[in-house]
Amino acid sequence: MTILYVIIPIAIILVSSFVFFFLWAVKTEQFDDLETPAHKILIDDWNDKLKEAKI
Amino acid sequence: MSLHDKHSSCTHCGIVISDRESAISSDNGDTFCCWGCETVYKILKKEHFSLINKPSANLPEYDFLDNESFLKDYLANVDNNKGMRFFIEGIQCTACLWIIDQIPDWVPQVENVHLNMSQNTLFVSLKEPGYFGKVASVLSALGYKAYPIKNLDEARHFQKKENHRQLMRLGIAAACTGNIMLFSFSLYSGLKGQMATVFEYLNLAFFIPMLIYCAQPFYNNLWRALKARRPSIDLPIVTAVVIGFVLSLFNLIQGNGDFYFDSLSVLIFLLLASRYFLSKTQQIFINSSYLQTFIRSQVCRRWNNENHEYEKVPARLLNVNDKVLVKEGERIPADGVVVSECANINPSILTGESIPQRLFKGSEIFAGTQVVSDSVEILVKCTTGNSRIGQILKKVEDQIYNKTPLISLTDKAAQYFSIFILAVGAVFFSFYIMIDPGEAVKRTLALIILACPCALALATPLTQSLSLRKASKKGYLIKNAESLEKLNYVKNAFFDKTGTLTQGRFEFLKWKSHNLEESGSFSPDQETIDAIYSIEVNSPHPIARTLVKHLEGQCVKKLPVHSLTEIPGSGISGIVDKNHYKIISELPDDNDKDDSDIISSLTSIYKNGDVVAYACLGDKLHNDAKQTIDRLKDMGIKTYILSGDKSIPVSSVARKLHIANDKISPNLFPEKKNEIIKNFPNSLMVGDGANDSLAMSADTVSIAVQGSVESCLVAADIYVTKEGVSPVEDLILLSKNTFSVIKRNLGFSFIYNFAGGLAALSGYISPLTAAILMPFSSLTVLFSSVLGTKFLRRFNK
Repeated sequence: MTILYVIIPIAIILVSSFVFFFLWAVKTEQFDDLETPAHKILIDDWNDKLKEAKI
Repeated sequence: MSLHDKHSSCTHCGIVISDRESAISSDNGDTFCCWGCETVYKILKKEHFSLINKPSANLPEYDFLDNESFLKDYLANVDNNKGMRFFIEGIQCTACLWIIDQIPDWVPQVENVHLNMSQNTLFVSLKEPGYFGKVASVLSALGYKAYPIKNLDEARHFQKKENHRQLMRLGIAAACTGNIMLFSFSLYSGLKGQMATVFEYLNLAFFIPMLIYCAQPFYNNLWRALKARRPSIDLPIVTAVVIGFVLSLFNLIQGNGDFYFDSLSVLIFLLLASRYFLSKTQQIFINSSYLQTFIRSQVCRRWNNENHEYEKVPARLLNVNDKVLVKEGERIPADGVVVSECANINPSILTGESIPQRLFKGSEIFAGTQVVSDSVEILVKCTTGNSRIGQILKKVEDQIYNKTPLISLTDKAAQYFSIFILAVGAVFFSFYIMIDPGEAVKRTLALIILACPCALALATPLTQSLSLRKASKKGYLIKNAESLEKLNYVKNAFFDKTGTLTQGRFEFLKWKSHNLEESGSFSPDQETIDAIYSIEVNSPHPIARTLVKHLEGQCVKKLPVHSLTEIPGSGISGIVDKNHYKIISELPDDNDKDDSDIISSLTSIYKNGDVVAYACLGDKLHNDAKQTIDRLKDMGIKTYILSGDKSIPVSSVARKLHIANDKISPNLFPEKKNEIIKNFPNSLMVGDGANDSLAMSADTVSIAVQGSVESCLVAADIYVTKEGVSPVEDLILLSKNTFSVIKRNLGFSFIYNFAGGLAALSGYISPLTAAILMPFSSLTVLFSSVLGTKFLRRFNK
């Protein structure tokens, strides 16, 4: 059971880092628009192709 | 073959063409890999080309966007970029995103566009000022309607921050709950001894941020509800959380292991999550546009006495006795009198009248009406803010902010529930205290914790947000969940006529032979058509204009007309080819059999004294109007028509829709519509014009149909981006369905709480019971909500 003394601090560190990164992501507005970037991925390809084709 | 050397890849798809023999080269030097690419490229190029050159791509109606006084309120600052935010109607898929992303290519003055598809907003920033109007015109040429959103930097900032705070709370709650559940799991599995104490204190440590930080919104809501003396579902929640915490803390210090940390944290987390999703699906930001600016910032041409020319000024700077020129298609900026000889105007936005009017010198003209043909000079008698429409808009704003909030079903249920539980608890406590005081306290507190209607508090926002999402996918923008609930109670539905039940256009409908009763299609001979066209082309009257527009393509040859005379107020006569023609418009008699034509003007064509044909002009009912009205009646909802139009077209509409005569009110002023609606409880207003917006902002639920003016968009609770009135029925069905799901959840919730309460009172108060009962009840209602909203029968079609 002594292993718990190691595991629990690790768990707490993991939790804190999760919370930290989550808060960072929220503050940098990464959750503000969940839809558009998903569509944008497709468009970039399209536009690159268009540029290549010089339209 | 030199062309092929230059273009070794397909112009359309970019694929490198290896086999040059099979390549297709067009006349202007483009090379394609296949016919498919060639065809698509041609179509795209043609479309793009016509798009940019469309005359509508520079609409004067959007000029006000670049007005300085308008920009003052609407220019937003995002990442050091000045720009304007628009609400865009009609965004669907990646193709919309792509085409809107091309705007900087078409309007080179645009620095950047950023479309947010989850909110349907577009942020446009410019390299040089003065091109917002152009962008809006291009958008409208593409088929998207753009509404500028008022820049409320602070409010917006606040809203964004609040959104972030909600998410952070949710994240922290998730982290803490996860850990508490892990630790509790080992405790339930039988962990004993020193390690158990460590785990218990760890639970406490993780629960404290939940209690202090994550549960904050519940405290705030409860406080607000208590101050307003409204029942609220937050009361039992806060009670359960606080009592649960105190009891668990007490047990922890005493060393007997009964803790509710796990159940309570799960409860808080799920509640936060469901409320977050609901707030995400509500379309509240439309409310933030500011009504009066639209009309007050419109650019108009004012006569400058010193320079002897018209200068462009915003409407709000107009003074009494200014002379203003209004061109075709523009709206009158202020109340005044006509200075020109005559004016053709369309008053439907302000009054709901369907026939364009002809005003003569000296007659009154109102702000908001549209000039149909030619330019008109007016003398301002009343500034924009004091004009009739300005006053209506002012009232609309007042009413929107003073709407009585609805006490939702959930809150009402929670109220009775709390009273019931507290009563049961008190009775139990006063009896049991004589048997075992310690146990009595424990069991009563356990009762309060276990009986918290968390399932209900959880499932209601979830069901609502699922329904809102469903509605918004269909193009129905519901501003808040409250409106959805109000729709459920609708008993009286009031419809506007022009533009709502009908299509709102004044156009040629059909010909009728001299025998009006005769059914079947009829068309006058070519000679007559040519003659009518030749005569009517000389008349500036709006009815003549409509007829001419229709005949434009049909007339083969324009003939010379002799002794042309205008018959004041009714028509025109003339001699063509030795035949004497007289064209007279009259109000129609009300017996047309056609299902959808609403004739508001019957024009008789006399040839040498005999009637040869009747031209029917007017409006058309929406295809779905009859069906919708019938279905509403089947649901037991009374339908009424409130219109500013004359009684003949209104009763004609009513007859075709089978609405009784005592349920129609023609000739109504906007204020009167408002008064009528206020007399009916549980009413629904459906409309599209400025004259409806006052009634919409009253204590009713209101739906603005597609094509509504801005003031309606702001005043209405629900905005529909689909043509016709069938969305009204859809929305009511959706609301009824949503509420049957919520009621079912209410039932489930009561059963569980009853079981929980019984377990608590009979002494099975182990936290394990709570740990099983609470999530299980939550899961049941979640399941019921998701399934219930997923299979909304008719709505899915």
